[in-house]
Amino acid sequence: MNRVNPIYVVVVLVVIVVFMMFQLHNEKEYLQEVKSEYKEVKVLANELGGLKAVYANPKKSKKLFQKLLRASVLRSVNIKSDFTKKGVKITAESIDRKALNYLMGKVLNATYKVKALKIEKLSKTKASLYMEIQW
Amino acid sequence: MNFNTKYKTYLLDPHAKRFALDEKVNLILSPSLYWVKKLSLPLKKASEAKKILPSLFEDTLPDGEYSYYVYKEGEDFFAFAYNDKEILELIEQKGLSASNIKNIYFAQSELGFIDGAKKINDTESIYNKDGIIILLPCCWIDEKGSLDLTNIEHSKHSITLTNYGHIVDLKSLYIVGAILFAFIVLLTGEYIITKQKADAIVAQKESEFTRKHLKATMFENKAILKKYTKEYTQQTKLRYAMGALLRVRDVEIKSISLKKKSLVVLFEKLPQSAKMSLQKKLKMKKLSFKFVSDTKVEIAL
Repeated sequence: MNRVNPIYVVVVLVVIVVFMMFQLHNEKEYLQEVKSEYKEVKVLANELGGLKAVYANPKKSKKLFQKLLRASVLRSVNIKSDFTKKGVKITAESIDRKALNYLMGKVLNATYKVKALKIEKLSKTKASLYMEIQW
Repeated sequence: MNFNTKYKTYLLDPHAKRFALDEKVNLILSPSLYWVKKLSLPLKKASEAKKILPSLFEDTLPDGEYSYYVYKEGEDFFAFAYNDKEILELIEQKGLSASNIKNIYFAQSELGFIDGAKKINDTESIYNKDGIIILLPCCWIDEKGSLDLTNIEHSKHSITLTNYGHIVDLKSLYIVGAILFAFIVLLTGEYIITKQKADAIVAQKESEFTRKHLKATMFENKAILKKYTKEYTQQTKLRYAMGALLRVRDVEIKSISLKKKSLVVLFEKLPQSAKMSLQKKLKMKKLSFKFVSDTKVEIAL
């Protein structure tokens, strides 16, 4: 006589179906959430990777700048450079047009972080220069 | 054969007195509560015979919902038809609770041991006639005492009464149950697949963090990205501004100075046409600027 009523079994099955549908719905929402998070991470990782390669490589920047100052065009010019851990400050009381064009062309065409700049014309062919570059 | 040591056994008959019981009991149905047929069928198993039971009783039974039971004894089949609802109602009338009933048996399968007639109440006797247990009115035959069920040994032929058979078709219920079960299996499968997909993406996300040397939280990474993006924008604007200045003809620049977020340019000579050209070039690069005087411009970075 203690047999389980089949109607109860069907009711229990319906409850399980509803519960499973609810769980599945939640899991699908979670999947969408995780997918969009992953996309966001990928985009961020790519952007950050690119920018880091440019701005977060102080050793490379320093080395390149030192190499630039050793260029023959600039060697004849009296450029004072003050290298620190964070960057470099360069000063030239009088720099000729050719050397200035060369230096600024190299600096602006590369990815140096120019933090301060002052160029003042002294004569038709000469100018003074102060520049701060941060690594 | 079940040795009945734990539960008492009672005969359930419409003329029996009300029970006053508060314990689990076994019940034997009186022959007045079922129809029985002794059959000789060309079948091997009782389960094969069960399929044809409704048609066997078709002409015998009054209108109503019936359940069927069959067992094989020797070469003969004993087939039973009974009305669940009627028996359940009688059980209730007699003061018994369905939950207090352990097993229900037929008199046919349990009382084969009686010899002659046995009195079961004031008006009826039970009688074993050629192997068929029947009910007789009292005094038709000489009774040899009352029916004693104290030490009865039960057979394995117990039945389960269903009080829902007349409400819904059991077969339909099983079909619905099977469909629901299949649905549960499908949902569970899809749930597992979805969960695995989500877990795989989470793992990929974590490996991306490791591979690209990202900080532990998105908050930190976003802050770093914001810092570098700001730097990149400012440096790009500086280069655009310098490019625009150097492309303008007929101008002589006296000084250029970069202070914080602005580039200040002082001209020795800035003709109107050159000024227009410079404005155009700066606008093209979407740079904001301001002419402080005729020969001085401030470009915001």
